[in-house]
Amino acid sequence: MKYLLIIGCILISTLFFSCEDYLEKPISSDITVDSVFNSAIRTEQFLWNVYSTASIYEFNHFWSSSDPRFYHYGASGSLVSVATDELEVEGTYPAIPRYFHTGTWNAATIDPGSWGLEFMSHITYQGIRNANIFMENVDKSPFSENEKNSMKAEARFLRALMHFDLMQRLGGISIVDHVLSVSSIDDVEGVKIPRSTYAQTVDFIVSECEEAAKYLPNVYEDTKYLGRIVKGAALALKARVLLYAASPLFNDPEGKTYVPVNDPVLRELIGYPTYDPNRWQLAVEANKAVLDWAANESGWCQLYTGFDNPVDRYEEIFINHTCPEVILSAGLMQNAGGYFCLFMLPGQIIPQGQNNPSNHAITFNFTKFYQKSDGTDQVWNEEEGVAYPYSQYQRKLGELEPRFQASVFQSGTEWSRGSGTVYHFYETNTLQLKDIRGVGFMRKFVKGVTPNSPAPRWITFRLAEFYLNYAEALNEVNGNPGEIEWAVNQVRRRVDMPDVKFTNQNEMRQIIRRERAVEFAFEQHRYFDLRRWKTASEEGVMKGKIYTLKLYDTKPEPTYKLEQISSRVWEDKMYLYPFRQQEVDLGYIIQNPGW
Amino acid sequence: MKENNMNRLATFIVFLIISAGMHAADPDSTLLNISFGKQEAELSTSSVSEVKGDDLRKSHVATLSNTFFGRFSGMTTLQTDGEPGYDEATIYLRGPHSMRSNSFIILVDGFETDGFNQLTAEEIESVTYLKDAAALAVHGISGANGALLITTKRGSLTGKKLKISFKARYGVQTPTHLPRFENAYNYARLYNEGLENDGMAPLYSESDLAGYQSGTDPYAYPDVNWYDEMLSKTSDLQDYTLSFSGGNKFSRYYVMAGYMGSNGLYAHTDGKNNSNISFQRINFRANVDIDVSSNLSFALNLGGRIEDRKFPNTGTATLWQNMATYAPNLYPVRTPQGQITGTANYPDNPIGSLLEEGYGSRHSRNVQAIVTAKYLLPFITDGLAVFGGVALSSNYMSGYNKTKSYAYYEPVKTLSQVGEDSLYYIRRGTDTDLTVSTGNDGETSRTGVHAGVEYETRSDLHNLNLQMMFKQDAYSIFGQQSVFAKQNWLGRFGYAYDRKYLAELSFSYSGTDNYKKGQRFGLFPALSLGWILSNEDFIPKTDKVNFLKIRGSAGLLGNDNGAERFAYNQYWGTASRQGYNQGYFFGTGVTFQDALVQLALADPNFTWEKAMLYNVGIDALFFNRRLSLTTDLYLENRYDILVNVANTMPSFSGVDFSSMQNKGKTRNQGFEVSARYADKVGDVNYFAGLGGSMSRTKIVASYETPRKEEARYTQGRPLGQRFGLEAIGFFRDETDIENNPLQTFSNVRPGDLKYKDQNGDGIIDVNDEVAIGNPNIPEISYSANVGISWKGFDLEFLFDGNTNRSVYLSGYMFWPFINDYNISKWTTERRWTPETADRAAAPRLGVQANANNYRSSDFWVRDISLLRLRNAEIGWTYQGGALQRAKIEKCRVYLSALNLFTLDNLDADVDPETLSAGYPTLKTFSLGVTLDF
Repeated sequence: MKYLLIIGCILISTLFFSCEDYLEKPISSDITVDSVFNSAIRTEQFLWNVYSTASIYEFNHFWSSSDPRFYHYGASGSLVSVATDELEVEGTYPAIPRYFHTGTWNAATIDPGSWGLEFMSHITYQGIRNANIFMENVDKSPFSENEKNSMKAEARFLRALMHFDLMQRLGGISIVDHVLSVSSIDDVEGVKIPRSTYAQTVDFIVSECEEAAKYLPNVYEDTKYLGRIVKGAALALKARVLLYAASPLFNDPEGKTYVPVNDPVLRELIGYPTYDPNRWQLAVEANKAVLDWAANESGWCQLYTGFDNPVDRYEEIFINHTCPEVILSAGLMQNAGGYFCLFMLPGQIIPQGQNNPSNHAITFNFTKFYQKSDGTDQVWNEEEGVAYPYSQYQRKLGELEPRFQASVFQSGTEWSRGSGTVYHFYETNTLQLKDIRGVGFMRKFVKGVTPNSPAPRWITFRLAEFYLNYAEALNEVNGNPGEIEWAVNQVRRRVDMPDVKFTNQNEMRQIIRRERAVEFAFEQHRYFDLRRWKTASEEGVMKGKIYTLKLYDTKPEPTYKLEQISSRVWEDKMYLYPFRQQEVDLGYIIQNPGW
Repeated sequence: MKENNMNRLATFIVFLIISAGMHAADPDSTLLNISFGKQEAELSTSSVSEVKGDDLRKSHVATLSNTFFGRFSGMTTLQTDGEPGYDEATIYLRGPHSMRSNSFIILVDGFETDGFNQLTAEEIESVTYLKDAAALAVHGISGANGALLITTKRGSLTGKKLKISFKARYGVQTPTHLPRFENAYNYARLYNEGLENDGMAPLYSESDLAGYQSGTDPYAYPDVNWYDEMLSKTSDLQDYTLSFSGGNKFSRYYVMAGYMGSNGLYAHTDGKNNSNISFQRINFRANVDIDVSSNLSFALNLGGRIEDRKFPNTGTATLWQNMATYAPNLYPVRTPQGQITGTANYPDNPIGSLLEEGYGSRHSRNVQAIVTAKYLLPFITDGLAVFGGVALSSNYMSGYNKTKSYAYYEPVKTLSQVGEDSLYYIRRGTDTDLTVSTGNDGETSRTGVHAGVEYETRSDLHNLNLQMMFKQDAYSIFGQQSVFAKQNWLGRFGYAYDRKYLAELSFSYSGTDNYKKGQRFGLFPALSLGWILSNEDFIPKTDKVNFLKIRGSAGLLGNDNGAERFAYNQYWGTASRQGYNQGYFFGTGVTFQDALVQLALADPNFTWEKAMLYNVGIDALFFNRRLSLTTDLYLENRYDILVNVANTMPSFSGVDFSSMQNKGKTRNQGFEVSARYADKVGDVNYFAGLGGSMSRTKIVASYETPRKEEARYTQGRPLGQRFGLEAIGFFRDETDIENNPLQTFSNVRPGDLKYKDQNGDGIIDVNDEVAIGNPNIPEISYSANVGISWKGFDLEFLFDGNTNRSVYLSGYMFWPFINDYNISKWTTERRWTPETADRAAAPRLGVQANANNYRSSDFWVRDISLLRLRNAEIGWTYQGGALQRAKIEKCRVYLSALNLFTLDNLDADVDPETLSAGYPTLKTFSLGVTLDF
């Protein structure tokens, strides 16, 4: 009878024959590393991922975006320019007024990923990792050698751009030029890369741009690839990096630091310890190279000169996606109906019913930079708190130059030109235009936008920058005055503004800086320009009182008054950002001074 | 193949025992449920706690876990919600164990199941809580967090041939607590105070305030208490069960059907166009045992239930929040014409949400069927048997919703030319018809198989039992690519010598599909020993000590819960952002290019959590078995807990998203004591039971984000420890503010919280946070159960409570006026004003979320201890007489009360368990009757 027992045992054991099969993961459509780089389509898709995580795009975003990878693109609810004297916003979402205006940002809050300031270094490093993964694996892909080199150069450029993104805020940074192995906790000690000096970081980015430029095409024939990296972008990044590196914040004529620094190691991390005028010369050459590339090599890149009316011409740069002036730009993740764009629109004009508009509004401080169309200054003799007639407001603003008309939507004009609908902001209506805090609403980028139209593109590099970069650098090396004038006037003539004349280096410097403010209003240039010029701390710039012209619905005629709208906190340590506390606590990062 | 070796081993052992030629087991002893069988209680070396279903039924609740309060020693039970159909208790078995998952396995009649909350207590014979390594080892890879065994009732041959029992119970429920909010006048007055404190102009004029105070114009000056508008005084809960059991020589059966119905607290609903919350359930069970021959028997268990839930379309949490927070002067409930009001910013008038939006419903159908067979092999040797079984269970869920939207009317107040107020209403939204939609369908199913061999024999000196078995289990969720599969080879060898010295070795060789091939299985052994001192000759046989056993166990267990699926694989794929695939736009339009992304970083060595469990215990009976005592002391070292080590990596590694590795460690220590004394004096029977337990879990290794200050690490501190600033009072005035360190969260004003500069760096920021209070899960639980009966009358009380717990008071109950929400009376009474500066117990009012005051600090943390009378019951049983003639053997009527009162030390206007102004915990008064035929 024992056989029955044996049968029983055998019965049991038969259940296990398929042991491993029973616990085997079913075949699925999972993608592994080999199946990514074996395939041309997937290799390309991974390159798009490098683009998507790179910091090309800087428009504002919606604060509650659940994916933190949004955050290193621009700030929450407003453009970064709101931190400077250019713009002022309202509403509960924007992070910039809450943290930058009040000076309540620090190493613990700079980029923990929850509150939407404009910078998250750890996310940028994810983008760098993606670029490194791509560069190390693209050789396995079935593309031709030329294609591989060109694609690798794209990733190389994006990696350099992200390093620049970090450097312009932090100074010298940890350079990551390969995929760091962190598959085990035991690897961590080995990847604690210290900060490179500022000089080393500049050299790295410059040489990477030079390397990428060797392989990048001048143009992509297929227009569907608008937005891909061309050779000009690599030259442009190099030119901008060298201009920044030559500027006073990093290359002070007297070797002074923005706050006292005693530690010689730290001194080298935040800039060049000693002045070298030749850095300006390098900037001159690099910027001239961009202009030369555009004129001689690109076959397409030039200052935009369409339309008869200079207002339309200037506006067109920011709304025409194929404008030949743009060297690199990025499309929005959503169409214009998404929150990203809505935040930039005035009140509730488009679309109606939009809650919590940020109402980007130009400040009076910045309005003063605009000349009249004849090239002379507007007379601003208003006294604070005194009422002046509305007609005077309209006249004075109406006289300002074309770039003001194109960039600002002021009271008493149409939002959509030719529509016949004129808005007076002092009037009470449901569009919330009355809530405006500045002189007029921002029109640049969003002119003509409807909720269904493609969103505007963020312009990373456009050719006008390199004329003014060139002029600025050339002026610093006491270059040919005629050449300096030429470069500035190229930009002014494009909007039918009269030429400027060189008198002396100091005055020319002020002219160029003012031209830069006006030409690149709201494009995030000024936020960094003010830092590298070390002028952010001047009263009414990023510090102190910000004014507006406020409208009142008085009888018999509406009036306006000069009023203060905000007060900005600035401390000199803010010339460079702090590293986030979490990184410093790991013990391999030297914190920037003052934080 | 490894398993073949295991087979050989098993066969060898079986034959070894057979050749020893022992005698068959004596079945006459108290039996304890163990995993996959029963064991003589006296000879057990495990730590378990068992409660009869009939005791659990005494708590009149809909959900089974809510009957557990105070019943099991070493179980922490927390009530977090009172919403009918969604009020499961949160349960920790010996406290929390891991930073990841603390969920444990539940077996119904020997097979794993995923839902036990909707079984009715009536169909349950007992619930057994397995605590130590000896009891849990056979569950191997899934056993470390503890286990509950639920055994359902079966027919028996003792007593009458056919027993019929009918039970009915009806209960009336009221909230244990509703928070108190301010009326319109106080709201407006205090709102002005908040504005003034924030440096802004008042919103409400003197005439507005007068209007609110007089209350003569409810439309211009509304004053709405949404609780009064929305709620009935009571809700109800009822249940009925009918059961039959009995059998004959060849078969035994237990058959039961039950109905439970419960309604929510909302008033005015009609059940057609809108609905109160309601939860109805039908449970049925048929358990049949058949002896085919003297050696072969079958058992069939069929259990099932139907659950139907209804609720308003606005989520319960939102609805209760709106009731609590909408300002009393926001709008009247309806316009003078009876239309629902609402504003653009506050469109969700609670009455509109309840009555005008239709309702949602969920229906689920659950069946579990188990067939097992046992074949005795006396022709080989007595006590030897093979057995096997199959279990199938299926849970199907579906939804049916009626939805509509409605027009609501926004009141607009204007000042006319002559300066008089005029009030008119703007229509917003539109009325639509009810539309019906179905959806939310889903199905889960489980298939379990097990088979094994067991042997038990007993002689004068030796008592041996062993069990070897294999089981496997597959759980599938509709819509998921792969099933969750587990396999387990398990065994248990128990030996007792002379009923004095006990030893048991048990093991599990188990694995799951979630790990890499070759790393799927682990061996989990446990050894336990016992010594029955009372059977030793040196202990005199008196009535004083009837039984005394010391036992100890040690073993290794695993926990595979709480891990990502197949995390050893490095995945690449498309990832979405806010519903938009990740990618990039090229081209002039919005030509989107999908991007391929490297997903979360894989860990090729990814494995399960492991726990070394140690337990020592004493079981004793004293004074002629009147006093019983059980106590246990335990220690658990848990390791290989998944933690995100990316926290400790430099950010430029670029893997910030997460990198989970088995590096975390915890240490859990505790003890349990339970004692019960029962006696009889004349006609009076009485008993008193006391239980207490303590459990503390510390984080030993956590790999957390680096901190500037040592005081901010969770490592070395209890699991569930809160961190925050230490509040040292309120700022008196501007001078006080100037003389203290700068607080960096916002500009402070007099009446704001002042914090201690812990690190002495002259500024107050997050680096000044320290551990504050106790963990958020109570470390100590206690219970008392007393009863007395006299002739037909009986009276019983069950208390339970807990302590060593801290809670964090946050949100709209405590932080007024954020989003213009209402202010609670609690805040009004405690707020800081210059006049009350010396006695204030809440910061000054403000109308914004105050970044300084409303952040984690010990000001908002409370140590809480509570004692709740969970259950009180008085009953009367009548037998014979008239009943006899009606063929009724016995009749019992009783009154019971659930959550009758609570003693706690929390100075907050919330229920001390749920801590929120959401759906409240309920107090239930019930009348019940039991008829036995």
